[in-house]
Amino acid sequence: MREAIIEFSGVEVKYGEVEALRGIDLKIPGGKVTVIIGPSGCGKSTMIRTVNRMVEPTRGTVRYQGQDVKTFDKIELRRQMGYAIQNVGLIPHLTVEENILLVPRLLGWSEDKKKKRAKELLDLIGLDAGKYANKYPSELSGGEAQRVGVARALGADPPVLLFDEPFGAVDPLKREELQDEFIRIQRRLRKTVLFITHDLSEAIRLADYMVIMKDGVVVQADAPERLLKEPGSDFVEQFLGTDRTLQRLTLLTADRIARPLRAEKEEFVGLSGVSWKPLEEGEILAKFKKDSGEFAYRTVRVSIHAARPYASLKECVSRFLALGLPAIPVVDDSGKVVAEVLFDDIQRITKEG
Amino acid sequence: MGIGILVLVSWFLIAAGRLDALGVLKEALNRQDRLVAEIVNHVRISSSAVLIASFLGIPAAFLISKGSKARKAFLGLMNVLQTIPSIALFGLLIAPLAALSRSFPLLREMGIRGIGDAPAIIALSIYALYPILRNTLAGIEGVSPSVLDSGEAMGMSRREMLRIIIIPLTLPFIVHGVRLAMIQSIANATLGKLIGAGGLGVFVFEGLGQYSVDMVVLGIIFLALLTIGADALFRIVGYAVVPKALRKQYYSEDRSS
Repeated sequence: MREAIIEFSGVEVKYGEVEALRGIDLKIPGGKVTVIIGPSGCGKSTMIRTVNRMVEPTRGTVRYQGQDVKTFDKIELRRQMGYAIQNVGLIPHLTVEENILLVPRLLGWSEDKKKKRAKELLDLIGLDAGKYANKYPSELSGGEAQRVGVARALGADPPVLLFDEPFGAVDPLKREELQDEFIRIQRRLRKTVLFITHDLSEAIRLADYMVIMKDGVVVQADAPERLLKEPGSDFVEQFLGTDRTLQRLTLLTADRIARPLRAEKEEFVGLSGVSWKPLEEGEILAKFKKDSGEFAYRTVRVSIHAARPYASLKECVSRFLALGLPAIPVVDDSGKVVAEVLFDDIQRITKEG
Repeated sequence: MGIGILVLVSWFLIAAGRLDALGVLKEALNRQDRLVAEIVNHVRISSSAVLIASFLGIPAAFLISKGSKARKAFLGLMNVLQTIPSIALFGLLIAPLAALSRSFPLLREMGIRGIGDAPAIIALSIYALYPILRNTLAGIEGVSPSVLDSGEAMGMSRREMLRIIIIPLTLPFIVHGVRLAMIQSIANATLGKLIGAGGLGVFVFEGLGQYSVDMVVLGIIFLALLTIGADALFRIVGYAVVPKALRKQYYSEDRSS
């Protein structure tokens, strides 16, 4: 584990009689996504809010970069940490651009720098700057608003991101898309992220490090693969559910087991024996040998049968079922065929208890 | 209540068939100077009241928006004060103000006595407080808590929050409250005449006393004009002060008040 950027030592938070946090000792690794998950009321939001001092612990210390957060000026500390919440909280009378540039504005960036940054961020979250920069929050759909919330958290390029159910207010389909975006963005930026969710599959997909909480304490904290393989208690086992194999498939991404392809003239060939020939928009011609020895062709539609590098293996399985071949192509964001995933490899994974 | 008197008097006069346009004009020309003076007085008195109420009411709204005890107490008090008939309040203030002005000659120098403009302005301020306080409070509490929470969490200081978020969103409500207070004060100021204050009430009540319908009508006409003018002015300001983004939202609802 890389150096711990955030550390909790004996952190307790009490509101009158109610104990929200009952002693947290945790080391949060830098440059990774730490997902905090647990049933409602377990203290996850409270814990994340002690990091940027929206909540002050009644006991114990929170350390950032080795220093007690109390020694930082509250406001300066917060400007170093991006914050995104379920309700987003976009300022209704400011444009999307003005919302995103909120922290840069507070920090006094120059107009040029700000303009550039706004465009960068809108591109990053996949919204056309020309169209969206001057829209108002009331004109955005739920998914667009959540994305703008993420862009706003990234505004001044803070090293730390605190996300409290940032994708909570959208439907499951949109949510998966947002998760894809997040994975894509995080691979580029490598921020230290504290991410709260109550959705287990979201947690498994996104986490490098997973913290399970209950009633104000940390029950178990580990890499998700290990948690799934060896749950440390009845509670954790129940919490993760019985279908841990399927969850491990959710956990692993295509690029973990993808096999490379050789380029031969216009086709890509790999171990599977299927050759992939990119055609027009969004289609690939697959050529394979049948048992009889004859060659057969099938048209592959990228949107239905191919997988992105960061797609979960669970998704890959459904694509296999749709295509019906021993492999599926892996296509990157620009549409290029970059690798293939073999069904045999997926089977191997599920067999490894 | 002032408006009620206005309506009643106008109705009475019209019903009694004693409305004579020519007569009113003659009256206006004869007493030009006095008319202008009392219009100025009326504007001065009602504006002062609204100004005082704004200086007290707007900050008060910000202060009590946080606590629930202070809030309940304040609003309760305001509610009670609103129910006191204006004439009664004017009368009630005469004695204490007279006493104060006798003990502090400085006040007398400033023109503050038991009767006259001072008690009128004070009483009018008290009434004007309620619409201003209540509407400002509504504006403050109408700001979404998520917006405030995320603003604070991103590192906005209290001042920046006020400047960037709270005030722009609250301003339309404040202007609305001031507009209501202004209309109310213009009407109520008419009664100031009864305790010796100036203003258009002079025309109304002296007219009533002298059985000069024309005088009364003159007073009423200008009261109506002042009211309409003030209302229009504040509606324009109210519109200008709403952030562009929210205009559609605020004005699609029925703005009958």
